Amino acid sequence: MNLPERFILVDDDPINNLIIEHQIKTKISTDIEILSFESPQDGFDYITSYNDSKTGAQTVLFLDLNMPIFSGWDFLEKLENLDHKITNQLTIYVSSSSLDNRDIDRANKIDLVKEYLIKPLTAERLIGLFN
Amino acid sequence: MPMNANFEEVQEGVQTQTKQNQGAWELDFSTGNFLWSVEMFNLLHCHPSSNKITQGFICDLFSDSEGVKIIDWFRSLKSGLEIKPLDVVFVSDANIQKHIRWTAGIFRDTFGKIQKAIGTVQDVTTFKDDETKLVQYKHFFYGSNDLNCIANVHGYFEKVNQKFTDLLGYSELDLVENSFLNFIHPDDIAGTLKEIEKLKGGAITLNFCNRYRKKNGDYVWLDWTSKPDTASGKLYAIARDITERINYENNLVHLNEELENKVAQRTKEIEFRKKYYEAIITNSNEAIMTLDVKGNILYQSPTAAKITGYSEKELLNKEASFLGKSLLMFEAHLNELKRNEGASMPVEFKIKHKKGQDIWIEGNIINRLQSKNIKAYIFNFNEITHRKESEIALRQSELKLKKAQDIANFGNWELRIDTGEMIWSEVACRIHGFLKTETKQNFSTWISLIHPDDLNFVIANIKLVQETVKPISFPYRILLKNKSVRYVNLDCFFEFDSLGGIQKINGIVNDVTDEKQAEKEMLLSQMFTRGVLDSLTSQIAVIDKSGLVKETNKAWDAFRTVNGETLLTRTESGTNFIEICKNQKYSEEETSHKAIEGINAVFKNKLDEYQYEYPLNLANGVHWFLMRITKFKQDKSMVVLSHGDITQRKIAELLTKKTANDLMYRNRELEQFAYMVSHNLRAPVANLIGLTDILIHNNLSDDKVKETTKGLFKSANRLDEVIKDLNHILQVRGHANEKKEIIYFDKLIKGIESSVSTLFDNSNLVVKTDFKAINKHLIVKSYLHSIFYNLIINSIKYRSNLRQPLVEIKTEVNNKNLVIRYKDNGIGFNMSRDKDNVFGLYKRFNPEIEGKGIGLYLVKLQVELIGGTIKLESEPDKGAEFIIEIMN
Repeated sequence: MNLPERFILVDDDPINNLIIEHQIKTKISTDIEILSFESPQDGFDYITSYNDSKTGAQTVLFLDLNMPIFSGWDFLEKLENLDHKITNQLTIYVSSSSLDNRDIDRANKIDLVKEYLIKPLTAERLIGLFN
Repeated sequence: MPMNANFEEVQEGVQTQTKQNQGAWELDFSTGNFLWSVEMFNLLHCHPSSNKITQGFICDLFSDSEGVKIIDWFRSLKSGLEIKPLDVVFVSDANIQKHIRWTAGIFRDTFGKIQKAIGTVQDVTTFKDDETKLVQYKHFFYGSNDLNCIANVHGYFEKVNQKFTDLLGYSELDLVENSFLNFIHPDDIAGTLKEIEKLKGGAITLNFCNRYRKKNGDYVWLDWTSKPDTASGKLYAIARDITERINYENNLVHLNEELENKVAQRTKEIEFRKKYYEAIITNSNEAIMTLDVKGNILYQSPTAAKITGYSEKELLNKEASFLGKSLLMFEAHLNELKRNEGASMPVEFKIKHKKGQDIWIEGNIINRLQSKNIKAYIFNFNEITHRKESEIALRQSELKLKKAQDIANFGNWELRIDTGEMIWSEVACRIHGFLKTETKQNFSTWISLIHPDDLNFVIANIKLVQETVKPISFPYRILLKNKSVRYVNLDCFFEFDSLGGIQKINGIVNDVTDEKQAEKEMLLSQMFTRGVLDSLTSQIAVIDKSGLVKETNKAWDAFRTVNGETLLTRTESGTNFIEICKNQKYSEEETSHKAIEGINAVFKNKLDEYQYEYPLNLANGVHWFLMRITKFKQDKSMVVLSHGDITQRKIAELLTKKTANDLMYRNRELEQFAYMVSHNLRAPVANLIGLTDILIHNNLSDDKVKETTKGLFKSANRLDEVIKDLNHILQVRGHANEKKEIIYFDKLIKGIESSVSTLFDNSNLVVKTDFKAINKHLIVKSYLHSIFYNLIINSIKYRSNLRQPLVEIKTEVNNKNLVIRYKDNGIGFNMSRDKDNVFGLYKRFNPEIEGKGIGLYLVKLQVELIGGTIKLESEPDKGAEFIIEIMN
């Protein structure tokens, strides 16, 4: 199992964050650092200030799309403009309840996005990501 | 003053006089002795005395000024300076004035010293006078306005004055060196020589005229007065230039001649004219007679004689008996004309020629009784027998033709009143359906053949004829043996007996069945067309170029009575459609304008057919009409306006259009709905699945179970909310079919304020409205309410904490559309960022403020459902302005 150093969750829906946190802790590891942000701006600010990767191990970002004002798309656009040193440490999963193909296609076209995950993120699916 | 003296001669005369009246004197300067001869004393009117002659003595003799001159003169002599003679004036005691001349000579001694002077004193008065005269003569001679000269009998000028040279243009030398005969007109030389001969004999020339040639070749007339000096052969002459006078006289003579010529010519002309007129009268075909006031013939022209056959002799001084029976009429005419000089009357008479045949004359009588040269009636005439005969012949042939026609179509009968006998013509028999030989020609037959339906009418008419004794004409039907019905026209008139009673009734009967039939058919076809026209449901009117409504059908008239006050109401037959259209206002203004436009376009051949569709508010709702204007094929000066109700078609059309719009809208909505389902509906569902997954696959602590269950509850609630929103939105759509009603904006806003008064109070929101432009609108109430409600809630939610919340609502009209401006002073929108999503469903722009992102979505949805558009203008932190435009 190739585990990341930490998880960052950005979703304005606290229930969704709760679900993912619980699944990580129960199915992946209880020790991995998990940072949840309901405000996309706070999440973004954290990422830009974060540059102390000691192990070179990856940070996994679960990013919601449908958020007011600062949407997942805005978030991705801003990340693309950041230094690669930062973005290289990130493995980004878009996590959305939208089944709309237009959203899925659009997300897959962005290099930074590793995969488009349709909510809910089940335990099975989560384990599959790191095997 | 005639110039009869030569001034040189005067000079000579003076010299002779000088030798007389001369005294001598001697003055010895050394002794002062002054000796005078006796003549001196005589000259100066004084006597020798014992006293010495001194300066003082001399001064006493002369006036002071003259004395001084003399003293000075002697002083000069003494000094040897002056020896010129001195002239002084002497006035004697008897007041005789003399001119005195002192002369002197000087004697010197052996040393050259002046010893004495010897001199003379002369009386030079005559000489002085002549000298003055000479100056005057010279002035006269040279300065005179006349031409003055001195010539001689040999034919030369000796002296000429400037006038002479000025007039003739030659120099004095030219004139003096050549014989004056050279300058004289050749025709006048002989006369001039003769005149010189007379002068030689001592005669004076007075007013002798001759012509002199000027240098430029023109001649001038000179009138001479001259006096000879027979001794010297000199001629003293004065000439005057009388050219102008001569010319004037010549002109006068010429004018006189001309006048005389003209008079002569005129006389000749008049004589010629007189002869000319006489010739015309004599030779013309117009016969002329003049008659005196009593009507007796004074003169007749040869033509008149030719026409009547009577010679002038036979008629002269007799009444115009040749007129025969027409004489009385003729005399009546004369009498009628008598009072009016110049009055005339055209006449036409049939008279008897002397030889007995009838002739026709046509002419004119004019009253010239007062005319100075005529004093008679003038009767001029032509013979028109030939013309008259052809006229009569023509009339007769016309009559024959008419008769021929009558035979074909007209029959006649006569009814004798006394016997009741009735005679029918052949045609009359034929018309009534039997042969003349059938001997049914009686009154009862006639009555029996009258159509029973018309019998009473015919009998009534016949009775009327008998009572009024006036001709009558009327149509009726006859029923023939063979049961066929014919239309006849009957003309009735009478013949009277000698006592004035009715003898016969004449009837002219004419079969008019064919005409009647044609008329009937025409009427039928007209009625048919009219019937068709009237059974049409379209409103139809025929309009002429001036706009006059010539004809309308029943539908047009019915439209007026059924539909009340519309354009057609005012345009019945006989009114002017264009004028009425011009005065239409409000809702029918445009239709009227289009109608005029269409009529003009069709009349001007720009269009064959003009069509215009328009809606009209009638009692039972809005109807659509099609106005069609086409040419009236039978008469180019008119157009046909047909007007039909096309509401059904229009509704179908509009429905199709609406369906297409609705489909588009629904499609867009479906897309939005699909999006909503995938995002907003699925989000809570995803949570529900996620949470249940946790519950199922894990052995959870009680706390964890509690937490997860709470999440489940929350997600389920949220799912419910989304479903409720969806329902709401779908319900909004359903309102589209709700009935429109008139909404007053002010009331609506008041209502919203009171329904959410708590929110108003908490936020201190102030709403200002301006509905001056429009305060009411026909609209679906729930939509307008929802639009304002959502906007106001939005303004409250997103108010700025920095200022008193204020909403301003205003209505305007733009291109007939209603415009609502809704403006707040809240936190506003970041339009550069959110422009595309402002009205999107579940689009939220401020995470700090509670909201689902459905309000503005609903506003836009509803604005569009009532056929409007919405725009937003906003800047962050300055407020927002929504501009809603609702199409009319």
